[in-house]
Amino acid sequence: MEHEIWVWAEYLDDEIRESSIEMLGEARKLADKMKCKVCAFLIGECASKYASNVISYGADIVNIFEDQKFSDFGVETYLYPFSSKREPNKAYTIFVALTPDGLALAPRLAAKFQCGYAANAVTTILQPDGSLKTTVPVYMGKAHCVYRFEMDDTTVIAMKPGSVGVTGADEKRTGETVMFDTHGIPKSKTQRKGYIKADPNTVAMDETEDVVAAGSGFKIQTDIELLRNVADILGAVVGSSKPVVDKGWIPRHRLIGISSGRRISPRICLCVGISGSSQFIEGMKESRTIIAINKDKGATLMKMADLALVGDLYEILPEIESQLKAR
Amino acid sequence: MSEERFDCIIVGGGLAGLTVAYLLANEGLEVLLLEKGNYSGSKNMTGGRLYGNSLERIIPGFADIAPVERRVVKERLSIMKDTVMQMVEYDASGVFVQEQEGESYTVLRGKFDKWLSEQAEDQGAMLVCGIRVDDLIIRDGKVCGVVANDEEMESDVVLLADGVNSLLTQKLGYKNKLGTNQVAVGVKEIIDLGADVINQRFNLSDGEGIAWMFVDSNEVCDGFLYTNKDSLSVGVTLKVENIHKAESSVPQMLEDFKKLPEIAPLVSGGRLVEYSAHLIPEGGMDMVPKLYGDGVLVAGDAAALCANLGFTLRGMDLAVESGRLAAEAILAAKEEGEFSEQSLSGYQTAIEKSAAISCVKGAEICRKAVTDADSMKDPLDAFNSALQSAQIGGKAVGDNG
Amino acid sequence: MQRIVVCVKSELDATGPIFLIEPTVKINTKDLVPILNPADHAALALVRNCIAQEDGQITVLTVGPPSADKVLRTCLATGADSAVRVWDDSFMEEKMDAKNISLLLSKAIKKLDAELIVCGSESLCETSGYVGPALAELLDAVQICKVDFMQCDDGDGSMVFHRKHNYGNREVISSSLPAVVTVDFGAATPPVVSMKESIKAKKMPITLFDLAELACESSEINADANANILQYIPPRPRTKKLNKAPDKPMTKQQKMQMMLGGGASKKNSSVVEGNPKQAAKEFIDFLIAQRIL
Repeated sequence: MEHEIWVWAEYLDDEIRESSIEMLGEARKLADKMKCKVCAFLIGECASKYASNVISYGADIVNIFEDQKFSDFGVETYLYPFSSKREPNKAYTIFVALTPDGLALAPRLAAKFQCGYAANAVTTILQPDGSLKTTVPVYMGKAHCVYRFEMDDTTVIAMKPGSVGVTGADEKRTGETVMFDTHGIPKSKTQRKGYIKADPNTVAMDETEDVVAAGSGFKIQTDIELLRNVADILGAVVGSSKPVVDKGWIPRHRLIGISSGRRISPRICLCVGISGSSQFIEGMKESRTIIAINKDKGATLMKMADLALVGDLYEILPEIESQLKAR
Repeated sequence: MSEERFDCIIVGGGLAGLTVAYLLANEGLEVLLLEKGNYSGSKNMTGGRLYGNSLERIIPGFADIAPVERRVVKERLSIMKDTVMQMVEYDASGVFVQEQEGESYTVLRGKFDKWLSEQAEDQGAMLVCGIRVDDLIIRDGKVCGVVANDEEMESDVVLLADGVNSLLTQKLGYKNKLGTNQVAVGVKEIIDLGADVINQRFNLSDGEGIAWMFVDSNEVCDGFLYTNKDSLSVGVTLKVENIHKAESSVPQMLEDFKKLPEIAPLVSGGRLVEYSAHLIPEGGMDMVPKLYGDGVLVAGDAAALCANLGFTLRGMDLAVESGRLAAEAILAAKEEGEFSEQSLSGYQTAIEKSAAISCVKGAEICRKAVTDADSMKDPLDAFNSALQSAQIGGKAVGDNG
Repeated sequence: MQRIVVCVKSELDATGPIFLIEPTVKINTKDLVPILNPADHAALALVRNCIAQEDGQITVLTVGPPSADKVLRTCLATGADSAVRVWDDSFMEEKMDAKNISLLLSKAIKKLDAELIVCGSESLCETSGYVGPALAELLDAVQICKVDFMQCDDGDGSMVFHRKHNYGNREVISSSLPAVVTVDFGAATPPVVSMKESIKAKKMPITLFDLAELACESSEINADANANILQYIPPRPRTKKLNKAPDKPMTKQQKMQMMLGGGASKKNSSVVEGNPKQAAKEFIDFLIAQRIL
């Protein structure tokens, strides 16, 4: 049975979302092994201008659905491109990143197509027998469940942003773009009435893009200002480990760690003066990138970090602040 | 005036409370049991071993249907004298302390109490979890109900089974605040090993278990080890007043205990599943409060009915027994049509005649006698003399009956 | 008077002790206790906070064996007005996967004729977030995920929702009904359990819908549920998923080290031990490589 790899390429703020680039990368890897094509779907009011970009990141075909009806995300309208393109004698592996919109679309696609669904997929590997082995976390990540999907069936693979990382674009790649007739799009049953921007003072720890965390390395409460200054430039929210919250230096809703009841997975988690208790690490280990500043090179967090800066936070933080300001 | 009322409100969903709930509901009374944990057993802890015969009287054959861990067939006693530890092993059926004759079982409270709570509910008792009773409704000196989070609920009688640190018993003036010489703190780890490994290490068959007590002749820190189905319960206890005498913190003492050459190989390769701590009543008769009053009875740990006899512990079965006697007293009072102090006094009489009081009374003497005697050479002999000197009934009979 | 259904799940508390040391076909969950899925409880709390009892009647609905009554009673004690449980003697718990559960829930919801359907966005054990969207598909209802506020619009039968969007922002959406809405854990806090409400809840009847009640054939239930689960394995350690930066030219020291040490060391993470200026520069370079600056 003919197989196609699909990717929903989202765009935000005038560029293709990084998470979609990740999905294109995954799709490309699988397509090369399976010797089939990657079809990206660009859906939106000005979708077509991203087509060449999408091709350079790995698509062979870009299906463009450009219409004013797509200006706001609505599950019912965004399903239309996929369901209208689906052919009965083909099987598809569909990669969707779990952005706020992807989270709504991916499972709905699986429900509509009555097909397999792997949420928060960690790895997707083609097996010698042609089947697809996908691993997903279960029981709060304490175990991984291994699924087997047949290549004759359609499967939706949904992945968290930041779970695979992006590779550079290949400007020399070529591909085909197809514009689709959008007359058949159903009218959306929802309407965007407004948009409320997050208040940086109250935004929840698990909803903010970047996080900086203060640890016991800070000697007095006012020293945290050093970290706050860096956070302000980066647009990050300041949280902390439990000892700092217990001292009352940081409000409780900014606690990072398993006792907060939540796990965060921000884009960056800059941990300053934190050695890394298991409770703290459990609460933030899903962060996309972990950067740690500590005098102790052997601290658990330092060994875990993607970038470990060994030194005195009292010296490094002001230096970071001034170098950032100088840019 | 509240629109609804119950015959009996029970505060505390541990073994004593659940026993009363079961028995009263079985007789058709409207019973409300209020437990502060999310489910019965979530806040209870034992070493530990349940002697079966008090529950056997209530639910015959309970061990076949309840989630007991292992039936204790072997016992070990280790006595730590200064730096020397000696151990003796003997058959479990060989010793019984007053009224405790019969099988005993290792249990895990989360599972076991939960099961018993389901039995009580099947009988018709209403169990509500996640509720902590803050106060009692008292009118003209009579307890008429409970207060939880500013909500009131009335009943003819209230059974206090709210554990070792029963604040309600203290509020009634039936007992004083806990003294540091009245309680021990017990910390325990449940270490998962798998049934086969346990069978192998202790030379047991499936379903068979061992109960092992470690007695410190300096009376600072005792220890225990029990075999569950797939795991070991390992822990230490020490009297709160002795904590300052100990050389290290209580958690550290547990770590050191696990490292002992007698214990280390038995727990090696295991995985820590649960860590818990609890207070244990060890205050003897001085700690036993007034057990009843107008419209109220006290049972279980709240009544300090626990005894450390050196070679064994009585606690859970005494809680069940006190629950049984409390239920009997309540039913008798219902017959009379009133729940005054006078009509409930049968409870006190019954408790005084039961194993509970003689164990509590003689515990300290018994324990000392066990450590002083040459328990290693002839344990059964030593136990017999200890029981005798403590004036606790029972016998150590040995294999030859 | 709005008819609202909140779908809830009785599931094992995955925050409890559960470990996997080696691959297995069946996970050992013996130490886990069943609880009400926290996201579902938040969903109930959100509805009750936003919609007064005189404006909307809430029925909580679950698919589960009799032991699931416990979570229904918790819901009845914390805001729900009535409760329905779906189960049939022919059901096997292991075969109740998200697809089958969604199908059964949708049939029950049709029978209950609800206009607004709310559920937790994901469960503790599976975290797939499948059921909400599947319900929308089966009921042909509007689907809005990750809602933390809802309100009835005056008179015209539509509702307004706040939907979680990027970076803590919220989209304000007006929608027609029927709608299926999912709610994250934390979006609303359930009230503290009251003794009197609990007692009242214990006495309320729970309606049971079996296959006959739902006019559902047992053949509609997929007997092959969970067939493509191969096994469970211990979780993989966190892998470095850094964006691949262009190769940096080696410093003189690194070149020396390579020549003396016999080859460049392959490092997964970078440890910077220089002075604060170097550390800060590395930090900024790193952020640039990760496309953050």
